Amino acid sequence: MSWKRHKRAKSYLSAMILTCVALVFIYPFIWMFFSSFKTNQEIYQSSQLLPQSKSFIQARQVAIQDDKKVKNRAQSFREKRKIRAQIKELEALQQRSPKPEQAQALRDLEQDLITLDQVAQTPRKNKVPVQEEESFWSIISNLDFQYFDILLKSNSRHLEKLERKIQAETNEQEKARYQAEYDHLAQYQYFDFRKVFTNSLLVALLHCFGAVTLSATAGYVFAKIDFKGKKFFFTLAILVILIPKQSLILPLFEWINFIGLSNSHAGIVLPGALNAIGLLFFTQIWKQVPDDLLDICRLEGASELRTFVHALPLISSALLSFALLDFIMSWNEHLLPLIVLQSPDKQTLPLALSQLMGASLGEPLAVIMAGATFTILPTLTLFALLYRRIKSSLADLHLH
Amino acid sequence: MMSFTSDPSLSNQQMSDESFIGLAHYYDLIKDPTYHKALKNTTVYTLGAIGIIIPFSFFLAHLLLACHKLLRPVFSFILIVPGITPPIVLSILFLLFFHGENGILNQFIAAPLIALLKSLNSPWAESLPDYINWQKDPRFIMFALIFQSVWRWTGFITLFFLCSLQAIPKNLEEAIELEGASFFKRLIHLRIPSCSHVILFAIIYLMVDSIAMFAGSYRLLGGSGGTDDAGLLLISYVYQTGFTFQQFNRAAAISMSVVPFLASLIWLLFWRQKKDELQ
Repeated sequence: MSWKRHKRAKSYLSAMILTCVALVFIYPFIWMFFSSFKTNQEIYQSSQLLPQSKSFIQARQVAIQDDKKVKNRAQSFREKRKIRAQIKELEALQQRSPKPEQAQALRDLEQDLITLDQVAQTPRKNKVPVQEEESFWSIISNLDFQYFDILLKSNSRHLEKLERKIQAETNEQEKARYQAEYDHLAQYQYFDFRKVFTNSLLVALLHCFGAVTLSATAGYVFAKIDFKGKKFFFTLAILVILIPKQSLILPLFEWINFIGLSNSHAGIVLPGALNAIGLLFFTQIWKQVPDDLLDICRLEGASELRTFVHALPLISSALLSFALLDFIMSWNEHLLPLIVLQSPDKQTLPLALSQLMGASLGEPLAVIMAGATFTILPTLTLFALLYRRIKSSLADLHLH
Repeated sequence: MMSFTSDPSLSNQQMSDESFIGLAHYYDLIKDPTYHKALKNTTVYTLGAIGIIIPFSFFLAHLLLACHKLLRPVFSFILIVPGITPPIVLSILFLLFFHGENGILNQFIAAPLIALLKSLNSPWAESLPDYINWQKDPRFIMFALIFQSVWRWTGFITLFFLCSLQAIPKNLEEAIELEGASFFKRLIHLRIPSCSHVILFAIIYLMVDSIAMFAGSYRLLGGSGGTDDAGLLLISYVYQTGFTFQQFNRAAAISMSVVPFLASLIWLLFWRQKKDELQ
């Protein structure tokens, strides 16, 4: 009985600790999602997670103007320290050469310090604290997706479409509405989100297809077929490929230029198709497939290629999970696209996002947050859907 | 091959051809203080990341094992979320988190902590500023980079550990329990040995990843090494030499200089596997 209780207590305790750790891990993402509804000022200065309504922001502004001391605690610490340093300086001066105006300044500073202390100590009684009227659910249901709109629509393609609409429109009211939208969007000229997203998807899918095909085939060869110098080739393959692409980036760059794949998607897909982790993974997987099954296939008179194709369903789970992992990896790749792709209409998402971040002094940060949300959405969804399969195929491996 | 030829000088780029200069680039590197700094930073970064991630994720895997069966996938998925996010998004988030005065980390944790230290008159708090400028202050850049790496990889390594902990045969667990072994005895004699190959794999994977670490530091420090080169990692240095200063061949030499080290790591992995197979 007590053993059971002990076990239950342990389970509750670990669930609690895990909840804390998980919150720390996931909080930035939640914050990112809600930040895509905030203004720059709110992102930088407010400590609230949820975006506030306009009336609330106004009320807070008034409150801040009423009482200058409603600042965060660190701010007042800082001011006090500054004043103390000034007092020290003045006192040192005073001892050397006393002057009346310095004495006056000293007294003023001391007075300031005292008032600062008082504000920090006495609770504000007569002031009505700004109440947040809206509940969690009303904020959630009234989220304003304006920044998502800006991200999706403020590109030259959409603007051209709008322009054509304005010219074709005869109704004055409609025309004014379109004109207003055009003016609003033309302030921000960002990248063509749909195009970039399609690029990224295309590259990731091709990359993943190539890597899965090559690694599965190579793994089959290394695991099931005996040939001379197999060990040597295996070691060589691993040695050559497991060295990270990033550290060989310059020779790779020269090479891609030499073949003439610079500034094309093939320049990203081809180097990525060779994947040492995939080779290792599939060699392990194929080793677990019993030889007898393949022998049956060969006895029936199937060629080696046909045997391979017929054996593929046996490792479908591994194929799927590796494809997913590779998709995620190529979706996230940043360095290779950065040096290979030059023209803006071929950019991938991480690249465009990083440029947006680099260029955004004073631009709404919420747009970047919206872009980042869109960037992580596909991979997260895929991973959540296929989580069980990945886990089981990892567990099957015993080794990595 | 590129690393053995000289860089055409910028002034007469059309005139001079690349010529074979042998090991001169490598010889230059040995004397280059910036290269030493980059190597040192990369080492600190790698060791720091491994030293934090592996014990922490081993601990988390134990927690996951202990908690309710239905909660396990939820927690491990949440832990993995930073791992499957593009590093560029991570560093955008990080940029805002570590942002000078107004970053969330400073407002909530660092500023009160520093104020507390200062009010206690602790001697080393004197040198600290009111706000830690995580990206500019050379003392804290490394910490920020390591923190980012921990945040990113802990989930994945935890998943590996969880898999191999679950793969421990039940009868071994029961036997060791019947013997009356304490928790630590169980840890040392059963659980750590059964995870040893995962630990080795994780160490090698993290090493390779931290040597190849680029996107995070690129976004966080803008492609340079940060103030005083305190955050200059090897790949950032390659990028800097190659694309900022246009010395491609020298950059190739830098990137080739770590290859022997990586090759020896991989040899270690294979050696270990062979030993396993012999047993």
